[in-house]
Amino acid sequence: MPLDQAFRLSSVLLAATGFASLTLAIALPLWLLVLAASAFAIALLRAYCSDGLSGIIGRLRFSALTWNIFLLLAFAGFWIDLLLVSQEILPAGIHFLVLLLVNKLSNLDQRRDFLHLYAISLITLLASAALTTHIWYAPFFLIYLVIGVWTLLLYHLLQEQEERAAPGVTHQVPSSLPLPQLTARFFWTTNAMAAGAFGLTLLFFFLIPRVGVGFFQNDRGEHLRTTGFSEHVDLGVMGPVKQDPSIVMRVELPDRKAHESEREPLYLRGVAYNRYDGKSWSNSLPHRRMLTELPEGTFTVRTAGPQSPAAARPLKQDILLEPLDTTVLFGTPLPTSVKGHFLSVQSDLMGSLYLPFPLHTRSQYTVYSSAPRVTAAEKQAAALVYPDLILQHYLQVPAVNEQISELARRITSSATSIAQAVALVRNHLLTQYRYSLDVPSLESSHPLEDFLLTRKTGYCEHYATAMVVMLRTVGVPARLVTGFLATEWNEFGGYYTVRQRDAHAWVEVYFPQSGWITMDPTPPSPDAAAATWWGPANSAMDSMRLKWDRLFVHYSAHDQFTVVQGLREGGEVVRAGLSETLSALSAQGVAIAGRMVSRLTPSGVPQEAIGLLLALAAMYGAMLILRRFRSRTTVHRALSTQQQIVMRLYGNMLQCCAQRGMTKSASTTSLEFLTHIRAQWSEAGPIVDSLTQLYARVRFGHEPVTESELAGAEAQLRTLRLLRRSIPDSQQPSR
Amino acid sequence: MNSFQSIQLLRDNIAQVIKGKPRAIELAVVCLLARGHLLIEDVPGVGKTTLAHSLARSLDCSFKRIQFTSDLLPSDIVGISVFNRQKQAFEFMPGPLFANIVLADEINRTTPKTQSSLLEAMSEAQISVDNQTYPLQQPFMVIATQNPAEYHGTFPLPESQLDRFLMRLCIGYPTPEEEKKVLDRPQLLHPADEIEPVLNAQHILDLQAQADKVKMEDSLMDYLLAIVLATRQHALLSLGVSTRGALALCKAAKALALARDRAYCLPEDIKELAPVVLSHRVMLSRSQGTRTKSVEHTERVILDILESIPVPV
Repeated sequence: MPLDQAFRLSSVLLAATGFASLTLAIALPLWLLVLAASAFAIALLRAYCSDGLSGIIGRLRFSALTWNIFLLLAFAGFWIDLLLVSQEILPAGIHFLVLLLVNKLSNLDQRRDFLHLYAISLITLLASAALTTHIWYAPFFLIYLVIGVWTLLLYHLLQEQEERAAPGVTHQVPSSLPLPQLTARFFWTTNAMAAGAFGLTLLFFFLIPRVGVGFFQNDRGEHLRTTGFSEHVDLGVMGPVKQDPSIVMRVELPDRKAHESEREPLYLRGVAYNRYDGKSWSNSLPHRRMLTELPEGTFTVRTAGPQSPAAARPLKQDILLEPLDTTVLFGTPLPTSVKGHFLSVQSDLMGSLYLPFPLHTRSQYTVYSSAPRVTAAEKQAAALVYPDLILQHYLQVPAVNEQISELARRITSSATSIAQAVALVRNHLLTQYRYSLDVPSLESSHPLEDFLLTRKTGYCEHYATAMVVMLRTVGVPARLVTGFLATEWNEFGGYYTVRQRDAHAWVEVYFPQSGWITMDPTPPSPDAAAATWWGPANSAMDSMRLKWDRLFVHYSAHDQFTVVQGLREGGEVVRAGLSETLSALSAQGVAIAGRMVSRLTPSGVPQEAIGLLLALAAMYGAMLILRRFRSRTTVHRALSTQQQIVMRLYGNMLQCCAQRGMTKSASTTSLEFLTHIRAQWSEAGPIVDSLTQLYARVRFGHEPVTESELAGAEAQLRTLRLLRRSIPDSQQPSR
Repeated sequence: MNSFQSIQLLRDNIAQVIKGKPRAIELAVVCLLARGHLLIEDVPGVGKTTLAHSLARSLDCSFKRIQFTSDLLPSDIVGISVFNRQKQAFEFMPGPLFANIVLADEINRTTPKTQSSLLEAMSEAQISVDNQTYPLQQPFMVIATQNPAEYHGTFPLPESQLDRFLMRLCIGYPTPEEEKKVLDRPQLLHPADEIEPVLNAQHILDLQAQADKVKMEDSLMDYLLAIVLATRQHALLSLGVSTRGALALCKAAKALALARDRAYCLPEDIKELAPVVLSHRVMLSRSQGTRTKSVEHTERVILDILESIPVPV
């Protein structure tokens, strides 16, 4: 098979594959199907029978002007379709696309036409991909891929061929090089290449990380080690992590203005403990229950105990949690509901939230929490009545040194109310002790006594434990809470950065009416606010990393869907408005036209005929305008009207000859073309001769032309048009 | 008798001698009308000298023929100052260059020194000897011939000299029928000697003036310049056409339009003349073969360029 023929065939087949997949994806109107099918048939025939039938098929060609009008009509039709008929962008766009395809199929002359055809066929394939999820799409896709590889290779080969035969190099290579023939082997090779390409694509398809994790990322190794959230927490375990700057989570407060939340430390509650055995904390209420998922994705915490009347409005936090080795979910005290893509969320009796298993990807969730406050009544109360359950679980005190209870009693002796006693204990710890991480507490057998009585330096755990124990010795229920204290505000991204070293422990004190109130006895760390000059750069970098994570890595199908949905809804609103106005307008127009028509026409003439006539008149008008526009744009400005007329006549003559298969290339002069015509189309010779003479005289000689000459030229052109339609004699017109 | 008829007369007159070469005759006449000089390059015996001779004979003006040989000296063609004993002064004896039509036969056989003595005469139509400048008669036309087949003992013309010729013309072998007519002729006299002059010097000057008045449309100038520019940018050419070359093409196109009875130029005029006017003014890049082939090669390149440049419509 000759190269050129194979190329044309495979191009048409490629477009046909795309179109076939489209027809299966969407129901096209019958007339469009017929139109496209006949365009394909003609294009195939034209490509296949390049020699014998080309003359006959060549006569089926319309002029470029006709096609332009067709395209304009198609474009107008697209708008009508969009606004009035199908009233949706997708079908209207696809109808227009098919019309474009028909146009390109019928005008495959130059290289760029083929490129346009490929682009259109690719769009059809994509459109059908967007419209269907059916399995039959797969074979079409595969066929498209295979033919696509053929076509592109052939295109490349053909172009190479032409470049070698390009002017300027011709005398090096014999220009009459025979076109190489294609053998079956070519197709086998290209098919193998297509298969290889497909295999590679599949590999990428499965390997590209699309769920936020690299595929080969190890599940276990990547977890950040945390301390302080396991079942038992030894006193002093937090010391070592206090130096670790690795980021644990980032917290946004979307409801709060940036300047509000800035610099205000945020407590992120993890786990609460109620039992202290002198060395380590544990939970005596380990029972967990599942949270109800209502509505979807939102897990609501059933608040045990009384709802605090003085609770502030719920605080919404968007938390991006790094993969940790713990299942704990963090949130400001006390979480009321959690929203996230989790299978289930559990909670224990002390309000800590857990996932069923540790996350191995960075994940985002939202927590709503309301922080209880001490009611005014309870602030004054000298004695409080606690429920049994509270008394049973939150007053346990290990066998501690008597000095500690002595100290507690001494501190609280002046208190007139419970709340004041609590405040006194906290104040005592805040003022009388020094914050230091340099504590060898793990070796000590009595860490609390060491801290309270002898060393008087320690860190959060010591402070919190001391406060809980002291409060319990004076009969106030309290518990220890571990979590993070977020202080690092990222002003670029507007969020808190929480690091390992922000791990913290504090105290919750129980008031029967108010609930569990957060208290922190730890003084601020002296070296906490060490601002560095690279700090801003660091936080900007971190914020950028976060955005990348949000917008790219975690850009899921769901997000995509949301965006498309939003666009579609927006477009729909605009389209609906437009089409409403238009249909109102057109209804008015139709009514007026109908009234006019009924008044003007004699009763016998059907209204359809009138409508048809009007449409034809409109088309003719458009054609006239187009023609006027064309001649105005192509003609040189400096030419007189007479010259313009002569040049238009000459142009029409060229068009006429082109329809007969004789085109004048750009580098051919008019006289050379004349000799060509004389040789190829002898009966047109005299006409072309006199038109060419007139053209040359007027165009280049700037000589005046009489009206009679113009009329004569018009007449000759008409004769030429008649000649064109006559059956060509035995000699086949060559190009 | 209008200008076209005079030109036609001249052509017919030459055609009596040169059988079957209307194009060569037309180009020679065009060259004369455009005030140019003609270089005829072809194998021996196809009528180079006869063409030049018959053109000169058809005009009623002076004609000199110089046979260029390797020992020819510049003074042999421009003339020499001789001491006159009676007048006790040097007296300039004009050489054969002082004529209306000069046939420089086998111009590549002489030394570059002698070749370049033609330079001033060809471009300025004057001769300077011993600080004296002598204007040449008008019309003045040099017709040079050279034989491309032989290389031993020849001196190829330098580019500067080539650039001063308006056209380089190849005559080529006649067809068998035409050749038969040549053989059939009575051989008593040289054919070129049989013809009578049909135009005089003043006629030629008038025709040259008319050729200058031929109109060339703006877009045609652009077309011409596009061709010239393309030769300067072409990958296979190391030297493009000079401004003098562009001017030559313009003048030649006007003369051709006059010879075809038009008062305006057409794109055809430029396109048709470009190969003969431009091909000897360009140089192929070094890699493009030997000089033997260069005539054909350069013509091919020029034709390729013409095919790539759109004609104004």
